[in-house]
Amino acid sequence: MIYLPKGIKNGEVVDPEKISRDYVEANRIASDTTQYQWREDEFNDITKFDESVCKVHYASTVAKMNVTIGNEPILVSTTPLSVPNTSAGTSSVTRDTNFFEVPLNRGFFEVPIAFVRPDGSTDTKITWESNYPELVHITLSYQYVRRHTSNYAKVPEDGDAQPGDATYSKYYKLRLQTAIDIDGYQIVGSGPGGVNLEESYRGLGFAGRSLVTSVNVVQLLPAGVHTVKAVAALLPIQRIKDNESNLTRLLAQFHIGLVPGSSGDRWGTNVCIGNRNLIVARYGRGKLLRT
Amino acid sequence: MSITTPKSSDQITVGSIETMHDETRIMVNDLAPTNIGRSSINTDHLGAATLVQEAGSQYDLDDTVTAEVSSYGGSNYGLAYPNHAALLAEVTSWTTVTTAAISTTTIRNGSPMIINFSCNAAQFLNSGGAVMKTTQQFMVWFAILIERTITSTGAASNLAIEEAVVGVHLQESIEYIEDIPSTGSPNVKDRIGGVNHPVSYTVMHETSSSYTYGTIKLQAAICPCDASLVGGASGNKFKVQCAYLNYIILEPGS
Repeated sequence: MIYLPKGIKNGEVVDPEKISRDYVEANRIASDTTQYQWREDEFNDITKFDESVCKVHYASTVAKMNVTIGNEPILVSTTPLSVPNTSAGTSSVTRDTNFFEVPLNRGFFEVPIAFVRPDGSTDTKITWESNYPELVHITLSYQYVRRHTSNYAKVPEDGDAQPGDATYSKYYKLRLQTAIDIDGYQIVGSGPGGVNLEESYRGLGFAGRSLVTSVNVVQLLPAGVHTVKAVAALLPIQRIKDNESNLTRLLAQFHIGLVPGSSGDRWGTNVCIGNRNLIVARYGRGKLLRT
Repeated sequence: MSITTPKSSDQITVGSIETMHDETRIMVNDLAPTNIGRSSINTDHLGAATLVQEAGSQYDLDDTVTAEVSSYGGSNYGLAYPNHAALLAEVTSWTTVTTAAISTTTIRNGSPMIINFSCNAAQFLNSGGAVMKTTQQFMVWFAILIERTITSTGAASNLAIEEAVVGVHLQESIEYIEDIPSTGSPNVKDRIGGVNHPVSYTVMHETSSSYTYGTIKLQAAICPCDASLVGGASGNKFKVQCAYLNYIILEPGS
């Protein structure tokens, strides 16, 4: 759509409607421009764009583990609160209070991540308000860590390895689930975890001792107020064979992580999310989906 | 906004022409966003403009980490650091797995620099480089180090991103039971071989125009995290494979 003034030809009778055509056409084109009204490289400077084109929010929390040669991570309640030093003695350190101890068998809980809003106020999750639909890229990274399985409560039979079984395989196992939560909905696939695929009620989770990972979600969100946060859960610890009978599924064991008649830490103790951060990159869009 | 036009039977006056001219001028000189049709502005019009000031990546498919987290004492604090200077000194002494150079020296103030690294914490090695049985209390640690200078003075002012200092343990289970049918007795065997622990981490750094940015480094070190391993474990190494370091520097948007 190009503006081509028609004007009045030489010798033509001047008609008011013919004169007005050029003004009406100019007005029409200016009211609904197309790509032809904009020169090549017209917007070659990013400063010509409104800042709503891309906004990035960052939330992060540091939880220092105080690891040095000779000591394992100092978590929520591990002892001693000191590290070996080069003088063959020990030196006191300060326990970091920013660890998030994941509740055992309580479902998903919010993992607090420190967020400072542009106005200086603080939160434990990222919230924003948008007047336009946006394509949102969310990245959650975190450090997961716990003590070695052998530190936790176990029943005597755990130590009786049988041919084909490793001792470790007979221990109860802590399994972590995490997810990115957008406006109260946990995005499927946004972390280790999943629903049960067989008769087991347990579900799926990460059973290793430590994990350093990034999870990405890309989502188209409508205009409005939105909240993004990280959530984590620890699944029940019973072994598979317990699923066949309720006899060993005691309340204390199921909810608190204590194994009757055993020694060791309560299951779920010192099972932590350490360093973590959440990045939200918002890209403005004129409409939700290109057609 | 429509144009007030004279009809064919009307007399053309200076006022009617001026009205049309003024209304058109007002429209053309003050284009509102709603006047811009969908898909009007495309890549032909953007020229060099981009939301991304710079992006880059670097990789190392096979690297051996020989550095250890420091013992606590003297001027070393390991990862029980009391301040950023101590953390920076610690991380700087670690093995550099890979380095990504930032070629844009004039990064705008307040730009989000998003850094991601991923790798496979692959194998535990002895001092001779042979694959050995993993030790439960060994960890391998990673950190992001940004090398930069103060623009006005040229003095180095490197940065270790604190929330990017992360570590993973080696295998939790270091033995398995082998059944020997001929004897009927189980045999405990050591697990020797790959650890293959996948690692990925993403952080963001908000740039400052006071600095000239040079490189982003992925640093790594191993650490025997048990008192019984102090001394005897010295010289152990760790193999990191398929290490990728990526960064993207966006325009400041908020």
